[in-house]
Amino acid sequence: MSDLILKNVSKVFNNNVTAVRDFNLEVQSGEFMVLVGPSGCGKSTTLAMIAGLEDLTSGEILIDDTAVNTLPPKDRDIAMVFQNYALYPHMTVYDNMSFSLKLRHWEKSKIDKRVKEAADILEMSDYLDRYPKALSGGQRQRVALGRAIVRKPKVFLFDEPLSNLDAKMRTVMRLELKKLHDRLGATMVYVTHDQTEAMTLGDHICVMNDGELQQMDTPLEIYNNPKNIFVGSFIGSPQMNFIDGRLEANSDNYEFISELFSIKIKINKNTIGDDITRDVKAGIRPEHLFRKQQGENDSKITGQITIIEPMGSETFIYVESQQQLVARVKADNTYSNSDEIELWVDSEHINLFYADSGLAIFSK
Amino acid sequence: MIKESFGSRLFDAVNISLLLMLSFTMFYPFLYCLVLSLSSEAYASQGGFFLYPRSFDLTAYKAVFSKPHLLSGMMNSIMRVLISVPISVLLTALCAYPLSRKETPYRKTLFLFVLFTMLFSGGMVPVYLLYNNIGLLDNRLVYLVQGLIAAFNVILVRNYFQNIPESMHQAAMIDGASEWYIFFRIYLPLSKPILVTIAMFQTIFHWNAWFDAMIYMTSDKKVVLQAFLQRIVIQQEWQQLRDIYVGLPPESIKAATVIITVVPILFVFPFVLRHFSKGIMLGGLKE
Repeated sequence: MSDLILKNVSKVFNNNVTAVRDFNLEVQSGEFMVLVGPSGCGKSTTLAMIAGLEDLTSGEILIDDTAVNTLPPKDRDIAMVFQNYALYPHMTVYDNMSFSLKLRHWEKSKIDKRVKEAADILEMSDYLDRYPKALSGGQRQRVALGRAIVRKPKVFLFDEPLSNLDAKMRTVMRLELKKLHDRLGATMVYVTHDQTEAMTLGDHICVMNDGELQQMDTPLEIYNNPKNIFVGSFIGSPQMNFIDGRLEANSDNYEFISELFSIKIKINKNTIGDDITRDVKAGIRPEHLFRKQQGENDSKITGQITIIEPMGSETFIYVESQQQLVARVKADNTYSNSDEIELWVDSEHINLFYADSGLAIFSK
Repeated sequence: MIKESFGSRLFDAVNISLLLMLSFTMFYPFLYCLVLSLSSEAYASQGGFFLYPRSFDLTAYKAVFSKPHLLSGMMNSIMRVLISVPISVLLTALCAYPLSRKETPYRKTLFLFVLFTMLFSGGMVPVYLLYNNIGLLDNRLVYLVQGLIAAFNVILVRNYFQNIPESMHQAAMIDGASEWYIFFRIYLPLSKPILVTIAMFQTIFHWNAWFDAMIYMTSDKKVVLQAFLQRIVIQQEWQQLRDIYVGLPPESIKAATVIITVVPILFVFPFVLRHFSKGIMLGGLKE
C-alpha cells in the first residue's frame, strides 16, 4: 500500500493540445480514487502519465515519496487494467497471468503459487488452461485483474475496465472490484466516465473537465455540494436542473427570485457577503422536486409533462415550464403526456451558483 | 424464405457463368500442359484440344530429367526459398515494426523512403555493377538479396501491426517486456496471418525468379529451376533432347518442364491458403 502524489502535472501534446493542466492529486495509501469526467477531459492521459505510458510536460509524480516520472513503466511498480482487457490472445490464462513474473525471472514454484492464489480470488482456477477467446467478457476482465494482482504492485490503475461489458456484467464486476479492493486494501486509481461506477466505487472522486481538476471529495459531498455548475450537471442522472434568477436580501435571510418561482433560502451572510447583485443559477436535483409540499418554505412550479420515463422503481418526468425541468417521482401510472402538473421545490436542497463564473455560492 | 426477383436470379446466373469461364481460362492451360506432357508421341504431335491424356507416356519427363543440372537447379530453387523467405519475412517485420510505432521519431519521413523504393529503382546496370563490386556475381548469395525487403510487404505488415491494440503494447511494457521481447513474443505471434501471406508472396517470387540467375550466374550448377525452364522453352534447348529422344514433340518437352517447375509450388499453397486470405484482408485494411 502506497501513497500516490501528483504535483502540478501538465501534459501538452505535440500539436499544442493541452490534455492536462496543472493537476494536483493526493491518493492516500489503500484509497480507491476515481477520476471521472467526460470524454477528452484528460483523465486517461493522467492515468497514462502515472503508468509511465505518457511523458509529463511538467510536474512530478511520486509513489511512496519517490519521484517516478523519469522511470520506465516496469520500474514504477504499478499494474494496469485496460478497457479492452489487453490480454495476449496467443497465451493461456495461466501464461497471461504469469507473464510479468516470468519477465522478472521469478522461480517457477513461486509463479505457480502466486497465479493460483490470484485465480482463487477471482474464481478463475478452472480456466487457467483456456485461451482468452474461449472466455466471456467478464471472465476476460477477471484475467486482466488477475494479471494485475499477481504482482502485488504498489498502485493499481484501471482505465475504464468495465466499459466493454454489458449492463448486467458491469454491475457484477463493479461489486467484484469493490470486494477486491476491500480484500487487498491496495491503492487504486480508477478512470471512468460512468458516474454510477464513480459514486459506488470511490472513496474519493476527482471530477475533471478540460484537463483541469474541478472538484475532489467524497462521492456524497460531490453529489450534495458540487463546487461548480459543471460538477453539478455531470454528477447525477438525470442531471441537476438549473434555473436562472437572482438573489435578494431580506431582513433575516435571502430570497431566490426567478420567472418560475421564488423561494426563501437560509444563507449565512458571512458566506455570501455583499456580492448578491450578480445573476445566479439555482441547481435543484430531480429528487428535490416533489409532487406535494414538504416544508413551509417550499415553492410551487406549474408545468406541462412532455416526456415520461418509467424506470420501474421510480419515474422521471420531464416538465415544460418556461424551461425544461426533470423530476424523479414515485413510480405510478397516473401520469400522461401533456398533463398539467404541480411540482414543489425543496427549499432545504437548493445549490446556488454564480451565473457568470459557474462557481458555487455556498455549500449546504 | 425470401423469393429472389428475376433480375437478381439473372444476375447470379450471369455472374456464375462468367466466373466459371474465367476459372476455366485459368485452369485449362495447366491441364493442357499436364495432358500434353503425359500423352504419347503420336497423340501429342496431332495437337488440338486436350481434356485428358489419350495415352499414358512418361517419355517427356524422362527426357527432361536426363538434362544435366535439372536436379541441381531444383535444389538451388528449394534452398533459395527455404533460406531467403524466412530471412526476408523477419527483416520485413523488423522494418515494419518501428514504422508502426507512433513514438518512432520521423517515422513518416522514414516511411516515405520505403515508399520511394516501391516507385523508383536504380536500374539494372547500376545494380549489376554493384553486385560485381561486392562479389555477388556467380555467387548464390545474390538470390538472398533479391527482393529481401519489398516495400509493398512492409506496408502490409506495418498496417497489420498498427491494427494490434496499443493497449497490448502498453500492457507488455508495464509487465516489464523490452521492445525486442514485445516484437518477438507479442507482435510476431499475433501477426501470423500477415507473415504467412508475405512468406507466400516471397516464396512465389523466389520460386518463379529466373532473370537474376540468367544475368548474375555463369555456372550452370548455380542456376535455379526457372532459369532451366527458360532455357528449355525460350532458348530452344529442347532440341538437344530431341537428338536423344528422337521423334519426341517439342511441345511435350516444354509441357513436362512446365509441370516439373510448377507442381512443387502448388503443394505449398493449400497449407497457407487459410492464413493467406485472412492476412491480405487484415493487412490491407485499417480498421
